Amino acid sequence: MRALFETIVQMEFIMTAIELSVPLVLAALAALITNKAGILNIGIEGSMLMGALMGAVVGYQTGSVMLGLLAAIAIGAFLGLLMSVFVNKFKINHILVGIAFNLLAAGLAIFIIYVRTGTKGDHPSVSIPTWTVPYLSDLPIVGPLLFGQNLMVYLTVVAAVVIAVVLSRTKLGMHIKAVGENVEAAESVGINAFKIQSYALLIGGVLAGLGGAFMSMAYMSTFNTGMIAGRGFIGIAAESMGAGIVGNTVLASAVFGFVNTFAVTAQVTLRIPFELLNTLPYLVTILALVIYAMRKRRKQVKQP
Amino acid sequence: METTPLLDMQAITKIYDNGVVANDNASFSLRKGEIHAIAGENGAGKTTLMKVLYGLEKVDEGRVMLHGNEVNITSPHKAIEHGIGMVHQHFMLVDSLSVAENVMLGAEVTKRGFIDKSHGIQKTEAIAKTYGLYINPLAKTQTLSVGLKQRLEIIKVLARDVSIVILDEPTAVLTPQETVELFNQLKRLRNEGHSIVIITHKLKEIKTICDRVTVMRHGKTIGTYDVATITEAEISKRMIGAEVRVERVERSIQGGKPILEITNLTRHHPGEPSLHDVNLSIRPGEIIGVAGVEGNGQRTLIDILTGYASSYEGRVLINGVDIRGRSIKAVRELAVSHIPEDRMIKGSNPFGTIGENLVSTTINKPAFNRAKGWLINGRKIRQYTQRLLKSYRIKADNTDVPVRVLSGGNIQKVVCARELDSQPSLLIADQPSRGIDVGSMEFIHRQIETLASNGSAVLLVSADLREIFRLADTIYVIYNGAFVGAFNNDGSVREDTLGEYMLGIKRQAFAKEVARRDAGNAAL
Ligand SMILES: Nc1ncnc2c1ncn2[C@@H]1O[C@H](COP(=O)(O)OP(=O)(O)OP(=O)(O)O)[C@@H](O)[C@H]1O
Ligand SMILES: [Mg+2]
Repeated sequence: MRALFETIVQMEFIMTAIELSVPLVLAALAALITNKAGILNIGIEGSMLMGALMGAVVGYQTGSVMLGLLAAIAIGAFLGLLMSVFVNKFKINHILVGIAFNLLAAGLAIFIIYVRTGTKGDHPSVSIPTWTVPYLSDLPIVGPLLFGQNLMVYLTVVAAVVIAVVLSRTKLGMHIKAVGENVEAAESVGINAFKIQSYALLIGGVLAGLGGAFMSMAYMSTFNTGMIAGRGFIGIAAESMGAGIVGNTVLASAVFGFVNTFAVTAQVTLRIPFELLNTLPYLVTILALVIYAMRKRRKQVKQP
Repeated sequence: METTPLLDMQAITKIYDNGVVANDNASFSLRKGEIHAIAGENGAGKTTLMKVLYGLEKVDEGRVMLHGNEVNITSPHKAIEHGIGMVHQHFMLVDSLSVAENVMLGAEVTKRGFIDKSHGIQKTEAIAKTYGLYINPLAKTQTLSVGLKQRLEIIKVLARDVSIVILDEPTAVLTPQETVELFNQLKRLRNEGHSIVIITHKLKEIKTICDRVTVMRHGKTIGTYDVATITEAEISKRMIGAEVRVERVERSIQGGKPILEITNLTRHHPGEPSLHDVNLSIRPGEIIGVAGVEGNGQRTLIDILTGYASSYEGRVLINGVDIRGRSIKAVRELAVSHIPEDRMIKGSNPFGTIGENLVSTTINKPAFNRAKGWLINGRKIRQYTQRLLKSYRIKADNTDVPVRVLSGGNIQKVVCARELDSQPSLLIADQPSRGIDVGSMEFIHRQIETLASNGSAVLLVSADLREIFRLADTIYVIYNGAFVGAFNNDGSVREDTLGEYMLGIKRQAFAKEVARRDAGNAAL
């Protein structure tokens, strides 16, 4: 027990927890913005996988981190727009489109890896650098925490703030909320629901693509077809726990990131079977959703 | 001398995806500065014709001329650009937004990329002031009463600087006082050069405020008439093809124990009109009408009686059973029917089919089940649906369509049919004939009378005083959460007398009297 406690308070543990929260936060933000526009985007998982793949492939091929990141963003945006067309123009149920996208992404990833490497699992990648501020990052505790993180960590923080501001203060955010809550009302005042949902899915796709790129270009510097491992779905769960509020959603994602890190670390310290520990994030998801549902119910009962 | 009309819709045909011909070669023209009514039975195609004009529905044939030029209005956005605004039959509001945010939605003014919230508030206040449409710009839309929501819809249209204003049954949800106010505002708009189209089932309103009326029947426009030269009876004859006969059902109040007994009912809940010490009893065969200005506690009373509001002081007995702590379903199990005020929120599931909606409160009846209640008997439900469609004259050519594609009045008929056909012992009817055409209204009224003549008790709440005069044995006036007057509906009470009580100018010291009367009844 003591050993466990000591691992948790260690700096290294906290840094890893922050890193592992990044893809979850990005996925949750993607879920949040599309949800606000009235689309439950199950396809985030697939978009993340494609983002991770494109980031690795283009990054490795060109040797440029920047181009890799741009490729991940582009594929995410493209998938988001494609989803909007399927949902709005072909009138296919958004859940079905999401499932189809996920299956397609999983298959396509294996295919592309096989064509390029002849194996079905891995593809080399490049690394997004860590941003260290000279001197400041040498400070104890706050140094690495505030001034020594991977670039993507800062980018994620910026993304969360931008999403919050867009939703609460801009015309686009207002229209996204209106379309999500009452399409007919929004359209009756001249808002183009297709356009608005396309924007939301595009932004969501970019976020998901970035989340994927983080996995293959920062957390690890290699791509693996199983590396997203349900993080898209955990992001969706975190969003629903955060009840559509940006701050709460980021917090919920961080809790999942923490538990995930614990599972990874405890393998070493506790000698609990790896498979069992790997279920931990999912168990916590279920537990959290149950608590959330119970609280919501109690609140409803209280209202006379 | 016929000048070019401001707007001319020529030979409009609109066929919905499911094959319904909603507009069949219909024509409509509007002059500048007039108030023009559209009248017609439920499902005649009035709303559809205006949705075509507003760009919400695509037209199949025909053309629209504006200022003598053909225009192609393919979206509400274009309609607004052409200076056309519409207040819809069912509210088009985003509930979680504030009043000002709804007013500006789609037309937000931004400052350095951010929405200028104070501009929206100022604009709302400015319109409120100019037209006497007072409303709190910061209020959350979902907390507004229907009257205020309607007002918000009108402000929304005015905020867009339109010259043609379409109002689809705006007075259906308004009290007589609010209607008078609305009409004053419409006259003012007309004098400022706006042209107004108003769809209504209330023929008296056409006579009061409109210049011309266009009558529609079965998707066709029958004709356009100068209001000055046509009588109410002639309008309704052209609408229906026959005259509406008012037939009263003979009935009498029966003795015996009251079905509904309310004693000292009180409820105070923040953000909601209160109720103070209300006493009421309804005997078998009796219809009690409650008249009052919206927001004086009538909804609170109904919420308690139907199980929606569970915290209150006092006692409610239905057939001798105390309903305290009972759920909505458990209250209904005491043979209580409830026609709610809002057909789209509490009254129906707009996405469910007509059949599903009709059996939603009776699905557990053995007649609709098979295999000891494990399976649903689809055939029986379809037969039942067909029967109700026919007897209530609900216009739908297919029972499997979702209720939301029906016309407004037909949705209301679905709700009425479900609640009236279950043979309740107590009927709580909140604006039962809202949005229903004159012919069908007569039918619904007869249905309610028949129910009472068979020994049911009826509590009728209505903003339409004529409906109350038509049905009630006793009229109670509610003001500020308390009954301030009780009148025998024997033809001696006048509308303006009730009005004085409704506005709180007068009140009877009658609470004790009623208590005495009830005590007397109980002793019988
Ligand atoms: N979206 C839709 N899809 C299919 N049919 C529709 C749709 N909207 C309306 N209809 C049908 O078109 C016909 C005309 O409907 P409309 O709403 O124009 O009638 P209305 O004259 O406004 O009636 P009310 O007085 O009851 O409001 C009705 O038979 C209705 O069922
Ligand atoms: Mg209509």
